[in-house]
Amino acid sequence: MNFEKEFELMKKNLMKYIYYHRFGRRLHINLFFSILNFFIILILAFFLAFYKYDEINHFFISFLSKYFDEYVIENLFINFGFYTINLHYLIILGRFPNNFEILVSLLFISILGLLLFIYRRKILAFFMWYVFFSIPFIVSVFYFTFFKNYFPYTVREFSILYTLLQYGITVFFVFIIAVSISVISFSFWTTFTNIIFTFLLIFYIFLFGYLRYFVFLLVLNKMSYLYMANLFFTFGPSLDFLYFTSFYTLYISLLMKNIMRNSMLWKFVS
Amino acid sequence: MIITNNPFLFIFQYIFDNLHLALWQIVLIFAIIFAIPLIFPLYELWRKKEGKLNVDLLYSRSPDYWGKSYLNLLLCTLSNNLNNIKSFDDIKNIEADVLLELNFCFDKGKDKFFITKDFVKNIEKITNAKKINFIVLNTNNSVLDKSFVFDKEVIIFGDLILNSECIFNSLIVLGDLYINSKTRVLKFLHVEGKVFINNEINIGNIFYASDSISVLAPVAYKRIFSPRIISKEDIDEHKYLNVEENKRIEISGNMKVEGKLNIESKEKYVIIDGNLICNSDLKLAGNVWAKNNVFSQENIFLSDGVIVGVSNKIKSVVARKKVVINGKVKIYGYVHSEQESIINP
Amino acid sequence: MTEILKLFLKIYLLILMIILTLYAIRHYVFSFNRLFGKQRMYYQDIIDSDLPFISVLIPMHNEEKVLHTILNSLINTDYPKDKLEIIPVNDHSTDKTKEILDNYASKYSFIKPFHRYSGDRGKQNALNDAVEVAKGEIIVVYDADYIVPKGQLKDMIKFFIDPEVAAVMGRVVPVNFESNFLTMMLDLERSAGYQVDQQARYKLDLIPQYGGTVGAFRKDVFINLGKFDPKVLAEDTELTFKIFLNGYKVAYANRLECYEEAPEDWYIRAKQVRRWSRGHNQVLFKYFIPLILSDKLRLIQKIDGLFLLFVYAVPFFTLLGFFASLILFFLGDMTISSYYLFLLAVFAYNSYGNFAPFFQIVTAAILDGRVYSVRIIPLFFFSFVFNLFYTSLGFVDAVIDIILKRKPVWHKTLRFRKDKDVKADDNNK
Repeated sequence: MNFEKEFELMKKNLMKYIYYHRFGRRLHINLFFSILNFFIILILAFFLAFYKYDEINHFFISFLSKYFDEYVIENLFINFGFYTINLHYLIILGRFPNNFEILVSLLFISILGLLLFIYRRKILAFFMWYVFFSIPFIVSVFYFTFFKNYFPYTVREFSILYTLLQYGITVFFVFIIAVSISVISFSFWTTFTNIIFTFLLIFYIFLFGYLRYFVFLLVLNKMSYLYMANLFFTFGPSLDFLYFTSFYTLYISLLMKNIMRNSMLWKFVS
Repeated sequence: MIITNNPFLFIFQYIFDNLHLALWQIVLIFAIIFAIPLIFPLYELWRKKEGKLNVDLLYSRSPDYWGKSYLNLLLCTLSNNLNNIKSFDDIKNIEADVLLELNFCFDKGKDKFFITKDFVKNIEKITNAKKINFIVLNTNNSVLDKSFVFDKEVIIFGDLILNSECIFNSLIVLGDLYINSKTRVLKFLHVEGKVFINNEINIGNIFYASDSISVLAPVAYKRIFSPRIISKEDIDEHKYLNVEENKRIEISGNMKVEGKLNIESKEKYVIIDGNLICNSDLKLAGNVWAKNNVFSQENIFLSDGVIVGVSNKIKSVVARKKVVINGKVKIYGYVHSEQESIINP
Repeated sequence: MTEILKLFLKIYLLILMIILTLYAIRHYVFSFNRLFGKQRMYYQDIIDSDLPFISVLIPMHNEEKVLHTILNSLINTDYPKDKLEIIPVNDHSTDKTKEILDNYASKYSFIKPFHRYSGDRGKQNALNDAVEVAKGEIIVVYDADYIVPKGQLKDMIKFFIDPEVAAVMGRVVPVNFESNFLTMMLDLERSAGYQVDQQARYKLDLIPQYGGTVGAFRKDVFINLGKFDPKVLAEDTELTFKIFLNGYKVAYANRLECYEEAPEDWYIRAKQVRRWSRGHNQVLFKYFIPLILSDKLRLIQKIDGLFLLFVYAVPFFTLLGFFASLILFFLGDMTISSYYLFLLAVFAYNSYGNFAPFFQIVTAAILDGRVYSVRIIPLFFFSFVFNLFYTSLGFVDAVIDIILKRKPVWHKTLRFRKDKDVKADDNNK
């Protein structure tokens, strides 16, 4: 029996069962896969941002436009110097609120506020969200009661801004995901699943982004401009972070089951 | 009809072409995809699969933790399964040379125990294999002069003399230990007595001896504890006190150094009173007596006459990487390193 | 006029965006460092038979519900009792705290209650007075709702072998994780704050914070630095800056884990956040200039110190930014305000709401092995506005304190201890 070999084998075997205490443990970074993963996702982002975004945008806009009786599709050019992309957006008819609608909305929001205020002790965090929601709304109510004619926006400005914002979010998210996920890449398999996850996330960003755009347009078309401030301030980009973190943490959670089981990925202190 | 050749959009294309969605249906789809990301966190909030982070309230740092807790588990296992076993003395009196299968206290799983008065003599009755895959309890003194690989723990209730190359998973000796042949221990070596190392030994993790360790052959280790660890030969610290005043350098107070620290002395006798803390490699060589703890964020090298600590007290030598000991060195206490270190007498 | 206002608001938003982005980058650096960087070795691995005499101070105000647990856990500690004194500081209690403490004192000679019924109430005042009677060279402080592990005191005092270390801070772990959404959230928030933030700051030699509990400091240094400022509510942060500005250091010890009780009620949490913010901002006003002018700190430490000082002030400016963007919206300048909104959202997850970006919490969860709890992170979204609002209120309080030179009154956090949480304590006996 070769004692040297036997001992090395036993050592290796033991390592599989050693779990370091959380105070000093750290992960083994696999630079090769991390860098590979980072660049694959970045190339993906680059390709998406400059070559595919317009195609997807055109597709969704032409699909969504069918649901409006009157609409105009306009071009929006984003010039990067070396490349210009042409995005489409929709212009539909927006509505100004009448005094009755303003009054009803104000009443509704006040009664809701009163109810939440009574029970605020139990639901303080949600009550604070109500406050966050109601401030732009009340300012809006005030504005449309007294300065209706000065309202500076139409659906056109709204659409341009939404389109730009959505474009920014998509590219930014892919960048954030590249930074946050590529470090947790230990093998071809995790690199592969990371990229699949990125694809699925991008898929969701588009679906969510354009359906939300559609719902926003419906609000401005069927309801009124009274809600435009809230569309931006309450249901704007902050919602994007909700689904982003949700999917990211779910994915990490699934990945972690393997990370925790694989003691070879861990190091201790030094 | 919308036409796309983009594979990414294919699924949308399919949906839009085949299902002629009404306006309210699209709003409903939006509501659903808006709700999906909330489902996972809310479900987790509801089911609370994980409890609080477990903080071990009974945790207390002690170098003999592994050996002591194993012995406690062993006593628990034997007293649960066998009548008349209340203490270790009762175990010593077991006559049988039998292989028992008992429920182990730790994980409730079954484990085989070979309880014997003389392992080498009686093992042949059980197996001829060199690899022993059951827990061995030798209730008397023992001399191992055959080579074995012990896959499970070995507990010797007396002195142990190792005369043949062996591998132990873990070894607990309740008497003295004499290592005369090349020995490897995977997890821990716990000795409730003196240890004499006359041949190479490799200890995967923790080496504890309650009395003293005398090292005359190379030792690979990570942590060693003993009230007296003597490498090569004993050094008398009294000579530091008896030497003439001009041959003695005394440094008092704690010392912290950002870079490397190198204290070597051949002629003069250096006494360092306080703790030595260094953020880089720390080297002590020659006539240097560090009376307190020695700590480094990198490696520590001790050689040729260095003494750490004071008799009847426990002091520590702690390094983030290695603690390399060469030649004559005496340490009262504990040596801790995170990478495999070596004592080369 | 409108144009000037617009320009002013745009510049304000732009500066704010840059600051928020810098905070986000800082947290990413911490997270990567903690996840992959080599960690510093801890002094706790040292075994030393020479132990100093220490005094454990436990400030208490009406703590009859919880004081048994901490005292029992301290009685069971393995620190030699001849080198230990436990001083529960009874600060104007009106319940049975005094009687219970006296009962303990009659049974255990090393428990020496310090009853305090004169002078101003408040943790900082109580500790200032109690330090005068404490005999230990090291002062250890625990809040009354903590449960101390058996070997923690021994591990804690080993950090003082380093002559530069004037204070040491351990890790706080909520014991009531499962109670409700708030406690689950606070648990993950604490994880990110300690496991990643504090640990990375200690490792990178920046400014780890002394947190006022599960911590210890040198008595002589503390007295030389003039003890706690009675006007500052965040006595812990104040001591941190005093220590660093005088050339000492705070060591953070990730291994020194200790259970605490997290608030279970949003209302009480709101008060707590507001108090912390008020105290922290008092420290900001007091130490902003000394920090910049200090000759004891390296540039990188000064930068980190500034980031740390402004942690509770930034939410106020973020809230102002929200109003600024609302004004810009109705003035017809939606572009900048929408970008601000975008960044506000980034900040909501990146830097605020929990003082840690989602990535930092995920990092902590990976290191702590919290496979499932990590999934509730998206729900931090709902505490974002809550934290923004109450932290801002704290900032306003601190500003008023400065203007009116008023003396703050300490409001204690209510306790929720139920029998099931105390089981850990029973195991300890």
